[in-house]
Amino acid sequence: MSVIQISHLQKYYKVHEKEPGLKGSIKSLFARKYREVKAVDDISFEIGEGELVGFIGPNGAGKTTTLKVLSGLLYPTGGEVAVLGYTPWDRKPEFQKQFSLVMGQKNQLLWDLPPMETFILNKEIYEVPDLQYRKTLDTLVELLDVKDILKIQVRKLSLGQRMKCELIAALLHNPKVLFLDEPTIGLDVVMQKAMRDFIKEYNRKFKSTIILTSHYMDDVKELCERVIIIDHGKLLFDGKLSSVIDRFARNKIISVVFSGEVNQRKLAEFGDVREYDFPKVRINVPRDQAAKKASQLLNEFPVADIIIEEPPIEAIIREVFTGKMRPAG
Amino acid sequence: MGRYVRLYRLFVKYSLMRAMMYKEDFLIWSAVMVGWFILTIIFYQVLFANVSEVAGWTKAELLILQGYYFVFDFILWGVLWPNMKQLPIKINKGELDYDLIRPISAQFMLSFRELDLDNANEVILGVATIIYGLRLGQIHPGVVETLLAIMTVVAAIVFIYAFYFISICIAFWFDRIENLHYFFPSFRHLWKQPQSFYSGWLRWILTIIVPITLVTTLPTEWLLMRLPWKETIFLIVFSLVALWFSRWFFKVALRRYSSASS
Repeated sequence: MSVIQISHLQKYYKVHEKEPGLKGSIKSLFARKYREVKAVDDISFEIGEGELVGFIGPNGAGKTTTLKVLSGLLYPTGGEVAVLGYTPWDRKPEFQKQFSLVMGQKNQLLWDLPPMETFILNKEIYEVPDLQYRKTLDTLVELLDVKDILKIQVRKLSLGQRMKCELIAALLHNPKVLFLDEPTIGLDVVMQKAMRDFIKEYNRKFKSTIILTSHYMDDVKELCERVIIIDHGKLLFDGKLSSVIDRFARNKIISVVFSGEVNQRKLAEFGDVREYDFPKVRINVPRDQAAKKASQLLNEFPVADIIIEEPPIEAIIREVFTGKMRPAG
Repeated sequence: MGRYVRLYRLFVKYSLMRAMMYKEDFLIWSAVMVGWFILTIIFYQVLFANVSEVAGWTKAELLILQGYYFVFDFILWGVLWPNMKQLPIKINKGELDYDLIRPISAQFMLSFRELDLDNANEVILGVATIIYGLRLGQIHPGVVETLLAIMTVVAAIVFIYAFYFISICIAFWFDRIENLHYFFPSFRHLWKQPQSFYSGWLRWILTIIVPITLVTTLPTEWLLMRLPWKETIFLIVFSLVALWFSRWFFKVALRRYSSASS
Protein backbone atom coordinates (compact mmCIF):
# COMPACT_ATOMS: atom_id res chain seq x y z
CA MET A 1 0.00 0.00 0.00
CA SER A 2 1.31 3.46 -0.90
CA VAL A 3 1.59 5.86 2.00
CA ILE A 4 2.80 8.72 -0.17
CA GLN A 5 1.59 9.32 -3.71
CA ILE A 6 2.81 12.19 -5.84
CA SER A 7 1.61 12.64 -9.36
CA HIS A 8 2.93 15.33 -11.72
CA LEU A 9 3.72 17.68 -8.85
CA GLN A 10 4.66 21.23 -9.85
CA LYS A 11 5.63 24.14 -7.66
CA TYR A 12 6.56 27.39 -9.35
CA TYR A 13 7.64 30.56 -7.59
CA LYS A 14 7.65 34.11 -8.84
CA VAL A 15 10.94 35.77 -7.99
CA HIS A 16 11.41 39.51 -8.06
CA GLU A 17 14.45 40.56 -10.09
CA LYS A 18 16.24 43.85 -9.49
CA GLU A 19 19.04 45.49 -11.37
CA PRO A 20 22.05 46.42 -9.23
CA GLY A 21 22.53 49.82 -7.62
CA LEU A 22 20.25 52.67 -6.61
CA LYS A 23 19.02 53.13 -10.17
CA GLY A 24 17.84 49.54 -10.20
CA SER A 25 16.07 50.06 -6.88
CA ILE A 26 14.22 53.14 -8.16
CA LYS A 27 13.29 51.36 -11.37
CA SER A 28 11.90 48.42 -9.44
CA LEU A 29 9.64 50.77 -7.49
CA PHE A 30 7.66 51.46 -10.65
CA ALA A 31 8.10 48.41 -12.81
CA ARG A 32 8.95 45.20 -11.03
CA LYS A 33 10.35 42.41 -13.09
CA TYR A 34 9.37 38.91 -12.14
CA ARG A 35 10.88 35.64 -13.17
CA GLU A 36 9.28 32.26 -12.73
CA VAL A 37 11.35 29.63 -10.97
CA LYS A 38 10.33 26.02 -11.38
CA ALA A 39 11.31 24.61 -7.97
CA VAL A 40 9.54 21.33 -8.66
CA ASP A 41 8.67 20.48 -12.22
CA ASP A 42 6.47 17.47 -12.91
CA ILE A 43 7.62 14.94 -10.36
CA SER A 44 5.83 11.64 -9.71
CA PHE A 45 6.61 8.80 -7.30
CA GLU A 46 5.04 6.55 -4.70
CA ILE A 47 6.39 5.37 -1.36
CA GLY A 48 5.10 2.32 0.47
CA GLU A 49 4.53 1.69 4.16
CA GLY A 50 7.71 1.31 6.22
CA GLU A 51 10.04 2.36 3.41
CA LEU A 52 13.08 4.52 4.18
CA VAL A 53 13.80 6.49 1.04
CA GLY A 54 16.75 8.77 0.40
CA PHE A 55 15.84 11.99 -1.38
CA ILE A 56 18.95 13.51 -2.86
CA GLY A 57 19.88 16.41 -5.04
CA PRO A 58 22.16 19.45 -5.03
CA ASN A 59 21.19 22.73 -3.34
CA GLY A 60 18.10 24.22 -4.96
CA ALA A 61 17.09 20.92 -6.56
CA GLY A 62 13.60 21.06 -5.05
CA LYS A 63 14.01 18.58 -2.19
CA THR A 64 12.86 20.85 0.61
CA THR A 65 10.06 22.29 -1.54
CA THR A 66 8.76 18.77 -2.14
CA LEU A 67 8.92 17.94 1.58
CA LYS A 68 7.07 21.17 2.35
CA VAL A 69 4.32 20.31 -0.09
CA LEU A 70 4.08 16.85 1.48
CA SER A 71 3.79 18.47 4.93
CA GLY A 72 1.05 20.83 3.78
CA LEU A 73 3.21 23.93 4.16
CA LEU A 74 3.06 24.88 0.50
CA TYR A 75 0.27 24.82 -2.01
CA PRO A 76 1.46 23.23 -5.25
CA THR A 77 1.09 24.94 -8.60
CA GLY A 78 -0.14 21.71 -10.14
CA GLY A 79 -0.37 17.97 -9.71
CA GLU A 80 -1.83 15.66 -7.11
CA VAL A 81 -0.47 14.62 -3.75
CA ALA A 82 -1.78 12.21 -1.13
CA VAL A 83 -0.10 11.36 2.16
CA LEU A 84 -1.85 8.64 4.21
CA GLY A 85 -4.86 9.31 2.00
CA TYR A 86 -5.02 13.01 2.92
CA THR A 87 -4.38 16.08 0.80
CA PRO A 88 -1.59 17.70 2.87
CA TRP A 89 -2.47 21.37 2.31
CA ASP A 90 -5.99 20.82 3.67
CA ARG A 91 -4.04 20.70 6.94
CA LYS A 92 -6.53 18.43 8.70
CA PRO A 93 -5.56 17.81 12.35
CA GLU A 94 -6.18 14.05 11.85
CA PHE A 95 -3.46 14.11 9.21
CA GLN A 96 -1.12 16.39 11.14
CA LYS A 97 -1.18 14.02 14.11
CA GLN A 98 0.24 11.26 11.94
CA PHE A 99 3.36 12.82 10.50
CA SER A 100 6.35 14.80 11.59
CA LEU A 101 8.90 17.04 9.97
CA VAL A 102 12.42 17.54 11.28
CA MET A 103 14.53 20.24 9.71
CA GLY A 104 18.21 20.17 10.55
CA GLN A 105 18.54 23.91 10.08
CA LYS A 106 15.52 25.00 12.09
CA ASN A 107 14.55 24.34 15.63
CA GLN A 108 11.28 23.87 17.42
CA LEU A 109 12.69 23.52 20.94
CA LEU A 110 11.92 26.34 23.38
CA TRP A 111 15.25 28.14 23.44
CA ASP A 112 15.37 29.45 27.00
CA LEU A 113 13.93 26.36 28.67
CA PRO A 114 15.01 22.75 29.15
CA PRO A 115 13.98 20.33 26.33
CA MET A 116 11.59 18.60 28.72
CA GLU A 117 9.29 21.64 28.52
CA THR A 118 9.00 21.35 24.73
CA PHE A 119 8.13 17.68 25.15
CA ILE A 120 5.35 18.57 27.60
CA LEU A 121 4.07 21.25 25.21
CA ASN A 122 4.03 18.82 22.28
CA LYS A 123 2.25 16.22 24.39
CA GLU A 124 -0.58 18.73 24.85
CA ILE A 125 -0.58 19.89 21.23
CA TYR A 126 -0.69 16.34 19.85
CA GLU A 127 -3.00 15.12 22.64
CA VAL A 128 -0.74 12.20 23.50
CA PRO A 129 -2.24 10.10 26.35
CA ASP A 130 -0.15 10.10 29.57
CA LEU A 131 0.82 6.44 29.45
CA GLN A 132 1.82 6.50 25.77
CA TYR A 133 3.77 9.71 26.35
CA ARG A 134 5.79 8.24 29.21
CA LYS A 135 6.46 5.02 27.31
CA THR A 136 7.54 6.74 24.09
CA LEU A 137 9.64 9.30 25.93
CA ASP A 138 11.45 6.59 27.91
CA THR A 139 12.15 4.59 24.75
CA LEU A 140 13.44 7.61 22.81
CA VAL A 141 15.52 8.93 25.70
CA GLU A 142 17.17 5.53 26.03
CA LEU A 143 17.72 5.06 22.30
CA LEU A 144 19.31 8.49 21.97
CA ASP A 145 21.05 8.43 25.33
CA VAL A 146 19.98 11.90 26.47
CA LYS A 147 18.82 11.23 30.02
CA ASP A 148 21.35 13.62 31.53
CA ILE A 149 20.50 16.68 29.44
CA LEU A 150 16.70 16.81 29.72
CA LYS A 151 16.79 19.43 32.44
CA ILE A 152 19.46 21.67 30.93
CA GLN A 153 18.45 24.84 29.04
CA VAL A 154 18.33 24.20 25.28
CA ARG A 155 20.64 27.13 24.53
CA LYS A 156 23.34 25.51 26.64
CA LEU A 157 23.25 22.21 24.72
CA SER A 158 25.63 21.26 21.91
CA LEU A 159 24.29 21.05 18.35
CA GLY A 160 24.29 17.27 18.50
CA GLN A 161 22.45 17.14 21.81
CA ARG A 162 19.94 19.64 20.49
CA MET A 163 19.32 17.62 17.35
CA LYS A 164 18.65 14.53 19.43
CA CYS A 165 16.09 16.48 21.45
CA GLU A 166 14.56 17.87 18.23
CA LEU A 167 14.03 14.28 17.13
CA ILE A 168 12.36 13.34 20.41
CA ALA A 169 10.06 16.37 20.19
CA ALA A 170 9.11 15.33 16.67
CA LEU A 171 8.51 11.68 17.49
CA LEU A 172 6.58 11.83 20.76
CA HIS A 173 3.26 11.35 18.97
CA ASN A 174 4.50 8.24 17.14
CA PRO A 175 4.13 9.61 13.60
CA LYS A 176 3.47 7.10 10.82
CA VAL A 177 5.29 9.27 8.33
CA LEU A 178 8.51 11.12 9.02
CA PHE A 179 10.19 13.74 6.84
CA LEU A 180 13.82 14.27 7.79
CA ASP A 181 15.37 17.26 6.06
CA GLU A 182 19.12 17.09 6.57
CA PRO A 183 18.97 15.85 10.14
CA THR A 184 22.75 15.34 10.35
CA ILE A 185 23.81 18.73 9.01
CA GLY A 186 26.63 20.31 11.00
CA LEU A 187 27.14 17.29 13.23
CA ASP A 188 30.52 15.67 13.81
CA VAL A 189 31.10 12.16 12.45
CA VAL A 190 30.45 10.42 15.76
CA MET A 191 27.14 12.22 16.19
CA GLN A 192 26.21 11.59 12.54
CA LYS A 193 26.72 7.90 13.12
CA ALA A 194 24.61 8.00 16.30
CA MET A 195 21.82 9.71 14.37
CA ARG A 196 21.97 7.19 11.55
CA ASP A 197 21.85 4.27 13.97
CA PHE A 198 18.84 5.83 15.63
CA ILE A 199 16.96 6.47 12.38
CA LYS A 200 17.61 2.90 11.26
CA GLU A 201 16.47 1.48 14.57
CA TYR A 202 13.40 3.71 14.68
CA ASN A 203 12.35 2.68 11.20
CA ARG A 204 12.78 -1.00 12.08
CA LYS A 205 11.01 -0.77 15.41
CA PHE A 206 8.05 1.43 14.50
CA LYS A 207 7.66 0.55 10.80
CA SER A 208 7.30 4.24 10.02
CA THR A 209 7.67 5.55 6.49
CA ILE A 210 10.64 7.90 6.25
CA ILE A 211 11.90 10.29 3.60
CA LEU A 212 15.42 11.46 4.29
CA THR A 213 17.25 14.25 2.53
CA SER A 214 20.93 14.67 3.18
CA HIS A 215 24.06 16.09 1.68
CA TYR A 216 26.08 13.32 3.27
CA MET A 217 26.16 10.28 1.02
CA ASP A 218 27.10 8.16 4.05
CA ASP A 219 23.64 8.82 5.49
CA VAL A 220 21.97 7.65 2.32
CA LYS A 221 24.31 4.71 1.74
CA GLU A 222 23.84 3.35 5.20
CA LEU A 223 20.11 3.92 5.57
CA CYS A 224 18.34 3.84 2.25
CA GLU A 225 17.86 0.98 -0.13
CA ARG A 226 15.89 3.20 -2.43
CA VAL A 227 16.87 6.67 -3.57
CA ILE A 228 15.09 9.36 -5.50
CA ILE A 229 17.41 11.80 -7.23
CA ILE A 230 16.15 15.20 -8.34
CA ASP A 231 17.86 18.14 -9.93
CA HIS A 232 16.46 21.45 -11.19
CA GLY A 233 13.04 20.28 -10.05
CA LYS A 234 13.09 17.21 -12.32
CA LEU A 235 13.24 13.60 -11.27
CA LEU A 236 16.45 12.01 -12.54
CA PHE A 237 16.31 8.63 -10.91
CA ASP A 238 14.04 6.54 -8.71
CA GLY A 239 15.19 3.07 -7.73
CA LYS A 240 17.63 1.00 -5.76
CA LEU A 241 20.78 2.79 -4.69
CA SER A 242 22.82 -0.05 -6.13
CA SER A 243 21.33 0.48 -9.57
CA VAL A 244 22.37 4.16 -9.63
CA ILE A 245 25.73 2.74 -10.70
CA ASP A 246 24.27 0.68 -13.58
CA ARG A 247 22.23 3.61 -14.71
CA PHE A 248 24.72 6.43 -14.59
CA ALA A 249 28.24 5.02 -14.46
CA ARG A 250 29.93 4.89 -17.85
CA ASN A 251 33.25 3.66 -16.52
CA LYS A 252 34.77 1.01 -14.32
CA ILE A 253 38.03 1.28 -12.47
CA ILE A 254 40.83 -1.21 -12.98
CA SER A 255 43.26 -1.26 -10.04
CA VAL A 256 46.56 -2.90 -10.84
CA VAL A 257 49.64 -3.70 -8.83
CA PHE A 258 52.65 -4.29 -11.12
CA SER A 259 55.51 -6.64 -10.37
CA GLY A 260 58.06 -4.91 -12.63
CA GLU A 261 58.84 -1.81 -14.72
CA VAL A 262 56.09 -0.56 -17.06
CA ASN A 263 56.02 1.86 -19.97
CA GLN A 264 53.79 4.70 -18.81
CA ARG A 265 52.99 5.94 -22.29
CA LYS A 266 51.82 2.51 -23.31
CA LEU A 267 49.71 2.27 -20.18
CA ALA A 268 47.92 5.51 -21.10
CA GLU A 269 46.57 3.86 -24.23
CA PHE A 270 44.40 1.58 -22.06
CA GLY A 271 42.30 4.35 -20.62
CA ASP A 272 42.27 7.34 -18.35
CA VAL A 273 45.06 6.84 -15.76
CA ARG A 274 43.64 8.40 -12.62
CA GLU A 275 46.32 7.50 -10.11
CA TYR A 276 49.92 6.52 -10.72
CA ASP A 277 51.67 5.55 -7.51
CA PHE A 278 54.01 2.84 -8.72
CA PRO A 279 53.58 -0.07 -8.38
CA LYS A 280 49.87 0.79 -7.79
CA VAL A 281 47.86 2.26 -10.68
CA ARG A 282 44.15 3.05 -11.15
CA ILE A 283 42.76 3.36 -14.66
CA ASN A 284 39.27 4.43 -15.74
CA VAL A 285 37.96 2.37 -18.63
CA PRO A 286 34.59 2.23 -20.44
CA ARG A 287 32.29 -0.27 -18.70
CA ASP A 288 31.73 -2.55 -21.67
CA GLN A 289 35.46 -2.89 -22.32
CA ALA A 290 36.57 -3.50 -18.72
CA ALA A 291 37.04 -7.28 -19.01
CA LYS A 292 38.84 -7.03 -22.36
CA LYS A 293 41.18 -4.29 -21.11
CA ALA A 294 41.97 -6.25 -17.96
CA SER A 295 42.95 -9.32 -19.96
CA GLN A 296 45.11 -7.18 -22.26
CA LEU A 297 46.84 -5.69 -19.24
CA LEU A 298 47.54 -9.18 -17.91
CA ASN A 299 49.03 -10.20 -21.22
CA GLU A 300 51.14 -7.13 -21.92
CA PHE A 301 52.41 -6.07 -18.46
CA PRO A 302 54.03 -7.75 -15.45
CA VAL A 303 50.93 -7.79 -13.20
CA ALA A 304 51.05 -8.94 -9.58
CA ASP A 305 47.41 -8.17 -8.75
CA ILE A 306 44.39 -6.81 -10.64
CA ILE A 307 40.83 -5.84 -9.56
CA ILE A 308 37.90 -4.40 -11.55
CA GLU A 309 35.89 -1.99 -9.38
CA GLU A 310 32.77 0.13 -9.62
CA PRO A 311 33.39 3.84 -9.13
CA PRO A 312 32.28 5.11 -5.68
CA ILE A 313 28.63 6.16 -5.56
CA GLU A 314 29.56 9.62 -4.29
CA ALA A 315 31.60 10.25 -7.40
CA ILE A 316 28.79 9.10 -9.69
CA ILE A 317 26.19 11.27 -8.01
CA ARG A 318 28.53 14.24 -7.96
CA GLU A 319 28.99 13.88 -11.67
CA VAL A 320 25.26 13.50 -12.24
CA PHE A 321 24.70 16.80 -10.44
CA THR A 322 27.42 18.65 -12.23
CA GLY A 323 25.85 17.58 -15.50
CA LYS A 324 28.84 15.58 -16.60
CA MET A 325 26.83 12.44 -16.61
CA ARG A 326 23.49 11.53 -18.10
CA PRO A 327 21.91 8.09 -17.94
CA ALA A 328 24.13 5.54 -19.65
CA GLY A 329 22.46 3.54 -22.38
CA MET B 1 -11.42 24.15 24.19
CA GLY B 2 -9.95 22.45 27.27
CA ARG B 3 -6.76 21.79 25.36
CA TYR B 4 -6.41 25.49 24.51
CA VAL B 5 -6.86 26.46 28.16
CA ARG B 6 -4.24 23.87 29.22
CA LEU B 7 -1.89 25.18 26.54
CA TYR B 8 -2.35 28.77 27.63
CA ARG B 9 -1.57 27.72 31.19
CA LEU B 10 1.68 26.24 29.86
CA PHE B 11 2.47 29.49 28.01
CA VAL B 12 1.96 31.44 31.25
CA LYS B 13 4.14 28.95 33.12
CA TYR B 14 6.95 29.23 30.56
CA SER B 15 6.75 33.02 30.61
CA LEU B 16 6.99 33.00 34.39
CA MET B 17 10.02 30.70 34.20
CA ARG B 18 11.65 33.10 31.73
CA ALA B 19 10.73 36.17 33.78
CA MET B 20 12.43 34.60 36.79
CA MET B 21 15.47 33.74 34.70
CA TYR B 22 15.86 37.36 33.69
CA LYS B 23 14.72 38.91 36.94
CA GLU B 24 16.71 42.12 36.48
CA ASP B 25 14.58 42.94 33.43
CA PHE B 26 11.49 42.21 35.41
CA LEU B 27 12.53 44.49 38.28
CA ILE B 28 13.56 47.37 36.03
CA TRP B 29 10.35 47.26 34.01
CA SER B 30 8.25 47.01 37.12
CA ALA B 31 9.96 50.17 38.39
CA VAL B 32 9.34 51.93 35.05
CA MET B 33 5.64 51.02 35.22
CA VAL B 34 5.31 52.37 38.77
CA GLY B 35 7.04 55.58 37.65
CA TRP B 36 4.64 55.95 34.76
CA PHE B 37 1.71 55.36 37.03
CA ILE B 38 2.89 58.02 39.48
CA LEU B 39 3.37 60.56 36.63
CA THR B 40 -0.16 59.93 35.36
CA ILE B 41 -1.63 60.42 38.81
CA ILE B 42 0.37 63.65 39.26
CA PHE B 43 -0.96 64.86 35.89
CA TYR B 44 -4.55 64.37 37.08
CA GLN B 45 -3.82 66.07 40.41
CA VAL B 46 -2.39 69.11 38.63
CA LEU B 47 -5.17 69.22 36.04
CA PHE B 48 -7.99 69.01 38.56
CA ALA B 49 -6.39 71.56 40.89
CA ASN B 50 -7.45 74.07 38.21
CA VAL B 51 -10.75 72.67 36.89
CA SER B 52 -13.53 70.60 38.41
CA GLU B 53 -14.44 68.69 35.28
CA VAL B 54 -13.36 68.13 31.67
CA ALA B 55 -16.08 67.77 29.03
CA GLY B 56 -18.47 66.57 31.73
CA TRP B 57 -16.02 64.08 33.31
CA THR B 58 -14.94 64.49 36.92
CA LYS B 59 -11.54 63.54 38.32
CA ALA B 60 -12.89 60.31 39.87
CA GLU B 61 -14.51 59.27 36.58
CA LEU B 62 -11.39 59.95 34.54
CA LEU B 63 -9.29 58.03 37.06
CA ILE B 64 -11.51 54.98 36.54
CA LEU B 65 -11.02 55.31 32.77
CA GLN B 66 -7.29 55.67 33.34
CA GLY B 67 -7.34 52.47 35.40
CA TYR B 68 -8.81 50.61 32.43
CA TYR B 69 -6.16 52.18 30.22
CA PHE B 70 -3.49 50.56 32.40
CA VAL B 71 -5.20 47.17 32.16
CA PHE B 72 -5.48 47.37 28.36
CA ASP B 73 -1.88 48.51 28.20
CA PHE B 74 -0.80 45.22 29.71
CA ILE B 75 -3.01 43.29 27.27
CA LEU B 76 -1.44 45.24 24.40
CA TRP B 77 2.23 45.15 25.44
CA GLY B 78 2.38 42.10 27.68
CA VAL B 79 0.00 39.65 26.01
CA LEU B 80 -0.17 40.59 22.33
CA TRP B 81 2.91 42.59 21.40
CA PRO B 82 5.54 39.86 22.08
CA ASN B 83 3.76 37.64 19.55
CA MET B 84 2.90 40.32 17.01
CA LYS B 85 6.52 41.45 17.04
CA GLN B 86 7.64 37.96 16.05
CA LEU B 87 5.11 37.28 13.31
CA PRO B 88 6.46 39.54 10.50
CA ILE B 89 9.99 38.27 11.21
CA LYS B 90 8.82 34.67 11.04
CA ILE B 91 6.94 35.32 7.80
CA ASN B 92 9.96 37.01 6.26
CA LYS B 93 12.40 34.30 7.27
CA GLY B 94 10.02 31.45 6.47
CA GLU B 95 9.91 30.28 10.05
CA LEU B 96 6.23 29.50 10.31
CA ASP B 97 6.85 25.90 9.29
CA TYR B 98 6.71 24.32 12.72
CA ASP B 99 3.61 26.35 13.60
CA LEU B 100 1.71 25.29 10.51
CA ILE B 101 2.27 21.54 10.67
CA ARG B 102 0.78 21.09 14.10
CA PRO B 103 -2.71 19.75 14.76
CA ILE B 104 -3.78 22.95 16.44
CA SER B 105 -4.89 26.41 15.38
CA ALA B 106 -1.77 28.10 13.98
CA GLN B 107 -3.40 31.47 14.68
CA PHE B 108 -3.70 30.56 18.35
CA MET B 109 -0.07 29.43 18.57
CA LEU B 110 1.23 32.50 16.76
CA SER B 111 -0.93 34.94 18.72
CA PHE B 112 -0.53 33.80 22.30
CA ARG B 113 2.57 31.69 22.78
CA GLU B 114 4.70 34.44 24.28
CA LEU B 115 3.83 36.58 27.26
CA ASP B 116 5.90 39.41 28.60
CA LEU B 117 5.20 39.60 32.29
CA ASP B 118 7.61 42.49 32.88
CA ASN B 119 4.76 44.99 33.00
CA ALA B 120 2.22 42.68 34.62
CA ASN B 121 1.99 45.03 37.59
CA GLU B 122 0.04 47.40 35.33
CA VAL B 123 -2.99 45.19 35.93
CA ILE B 124 -2.66 45.61 39.70
CA LEU B 125 -2.03 49.35 39.35
CA GLY B 126 -4.97 49.62 36.93
CA VAL B 127 -7.42 47.83 39.20
CA ALA B 128 -6.15 49.84 42.18
CA THR B 129 -6.76 53.07 40.23
CA ILE B 130 -10.30 51.96 39.34
CA ILE B 131 -11.05 51.17 42.99
CA TYR B 132 -9.52 54.48 44.09
CA GLY B 133 -11.64 56.36 41.51
CA LEU B 134 -14.80 54.62 42.71
CA ARG B 135 -13.99 55.54 46.34
CA LEU B 136 -13.12 59.11 45.45
CA GLY B 137 -16.36 59.63 43.53
CA GLN B 138 -18.36 57.58 46.05
CA ILE B 139 -19.65 55.46 43.21
CA HIS B 140 -21.16 52.09 44.10
CA PRO B 141 -21.93 49.99 41.01
CA GLY B 142 -24.13 46.89 41.50
CA VAL B 143 -23.23 43.31 40.64
CA VAL B 144 -24.93 43.47 37.22
CA GLU B 145 -23.11 46.66 36.24
CA THR B 146 -19.78 45.21 37.40
CA LEU B 147 -20.36 42.03 35.40
CA LEU B 148 -21.30 44.05 32.33
CA ALA B 149 -18.19 46.17 32.79
CA ILE B 150 -16.09 42.99 32.80
CA MET B 151 -17.97 41.74 29.74
CA THR B 152 -17.21 44.92 27.81
CA VAL B 153 -13.55 44.58 28.82
CA VAL B 154 -13.54 41.09 27.28
CA ALA B 155 -15.26 42.37 24.12
CA ALA B 156 -12.73 45.21 23.89
CA ILE B 157 -9.82 42.76 24.26
CA VAL B 158 -11.27 40.67 21.41
CA PHE B 159 -11.58 43.85 19.32
CA ILE B 160 -7.99 44.94 20.07
CA TYR B 161 -6.63 41.46 19.34
CA ALA B 162 -8.51 41.08 16.05
CA PHE B 163 -7.44 44.47 14.70
CA TYR B 164 -3.85 44.06 15.86
CA PHE B 165 -3.63 40.61 14.28
CA ILE B 166 -5.20 41.73 10.99
CA SER B 167 -2.77 44.66 10.78
CA ILE B 168 0.16 42.27 11.26
CA CYS B 169 -1.10 39.84 8.59
CA ILE B 170 -0.38 42.54 6.01
CA ALA B 171 3.23 41.37 6.32
CA PHE B 172 2.28 38.29 4.28
CA TRP B 173 1.98 40.53 1.22
CA PHE B 174 5.28 42.33 1.57
CA ASP B 175 8.82 41.05 1.72
CA ARG B 176 9.76 43.02 4.74
CA ILE B 177 7.93 45.48 6.94
CA GLU B 178 9.79 46.55 10.01
CA ASN B 179 7.98 48.22 12.88
CA LEU B 180 4.60 47.01 11.64
CA HIS B 181 4.01 45.77 15.18
CA TYR B 182 4.10 49.38 16.44
CA PHE B 183 1.36 50.50 14.05
CA PHE B 184 -1.73 49.30 15.87
CA PRO B 185 -0.51 50.05 19.43
CA SER B 186 -0.10 53.72 18.48
CA PHE B 187 -3.91 53.92 18.39
CA ARG B 188 -4.01 53.36 22.14
CA HIS B 189 -3.63 57.11 22.61
CA LEU B 190 -7.13 57.44 21.17
CA TRP B 191 -8.70 55.38 23.95
CA LYS B 192 -6.88 57.27 26.67
CA GLN B 193 -9.71 59.82 26.51
CA PRO B 194 -13.42 59.11 26.84
CA GLN B 195 -15.53 59.02 23.71
CA SER B 196 -17.29 62.30 24.51
CA PHE B 197 -13.96 64.19 24.20
CA TYR B 198 -14.28 63.71 20.45
CA SER B 199 -16.83 65.48 18.30
CA GLY B 200 -18.09 65.62 14.74
CA TRP B 201 -16.83 63.25 12.09
CA LEU B 202 -13.88 62.07 14.20
CA ARG B 203 -16.21 60.83 16.91
CA TRP B 204 -18.36 59.15 14.32
CA ILE B 205 -15.40 57.34 12.75
CA LEU B 206 -13.89 56.30 16.11
CA THR B 207 -17.22 54.93 17.28
CA ILE B 208 -18.93 53.36 14.27
CA ILE B 209 -16.20 52.59 11.74
CA VAL B 210 -13.55 51.49 14.23
CA PRO B 211 -14.97 51.65 17.76
CA ILE B 212 -11.63 52.48 19.28
CA THR B 213 -12.94 55.06 21.75
CA LEU B 214 -15.38 52.53 23.20
CA VAL B 215 -12.51 50.41 24.55
CA THR B 216 -12.11 52.29 27.82
CA THR B 217 -15.30 54.39 27.73
CA LEU B 218 -17.80 51.52 27.86
CA PRO B 219 -16.48 49.62 30.90
CA THR B 220 -16.10 52.95 32.68
CA GLU B 221 -19.66 53.97 31.88
CA TRP B 222 -20.97 50.66 33.23
CA LEU B 223 -19.23 51.29 36.55
CA LEU B 224 -20.65 54.81 36.50
CA MET B 225 -24.08 53.17 35.96
CA ARG B 226 -24.80 55.10 32.76
CA LEU B 227 -26.13 51.86 31.18
CA PRO B 228 -24.70 52.13 27.64
CA TRP B 229 -26.70 49.14 26.31
CA LYS B 230 -26.72 50.05 22.64
CA GLU B 231 -22.99 50.70 22.42
CA THR B 232 -22.23 47.52 24.40
CA ILE B 233 -24.22 45.31 22.05
CA PHE B 234 -22.58 47.09 19.12
CA LEU B 235 -19.07 46.50 20.50
CA ILE B 236 -19.76 42.82 21.20
CA VAL B 237 -21.13 42.20 17.69
CA PHE B 238 -18.36 44.25 16.13
CA SER B 239 -15.67 42.33 18.06
CA LEU B 240 -17.06 38.93 17.10
CA VAL B 241 -17.23 39.93 13.43
CA ALA B 242 -13.68 41.29 13.63
CA LEU B 243 -12.49 38.02 15.21
CA TRP B 244 -14.17 36.00 12.48
CA PHE B 245 -12.63 38.30 9.86
CA SER B 246 -9.16 37.90 11.37
CA ARG B 247 -9.48 34.11 11.03
CA TRP B 248 -10.60 34.38 7.42
CA PHE B 249 -7.91 36.94 6.60
CA PHE B 250 -5.21 34.73 8.16
CA LYS B 251 -6.31 31.78 6.03
CA VAL B 252 -6.16 33.92 2.89
CA ALA B 253 -2.75 35.27 3.96
CA LEU B 254 -1.38 31.76 4.51
CA ARG B 255 -2.04 30.97 0.89
CA ARG B 256 0.53 33.61 0.08
CA TYR B 257 3.05 32.20 2.47
CA SER B 258 5.87 30.59 0.62
CA SER B 259 8.41 29.78 3.23
CA ALA B 260 12.04 30.51 2.47
CA SER B 261 13.90 27.36 1.56
CA SER B 262 16.09 25.79 4.21
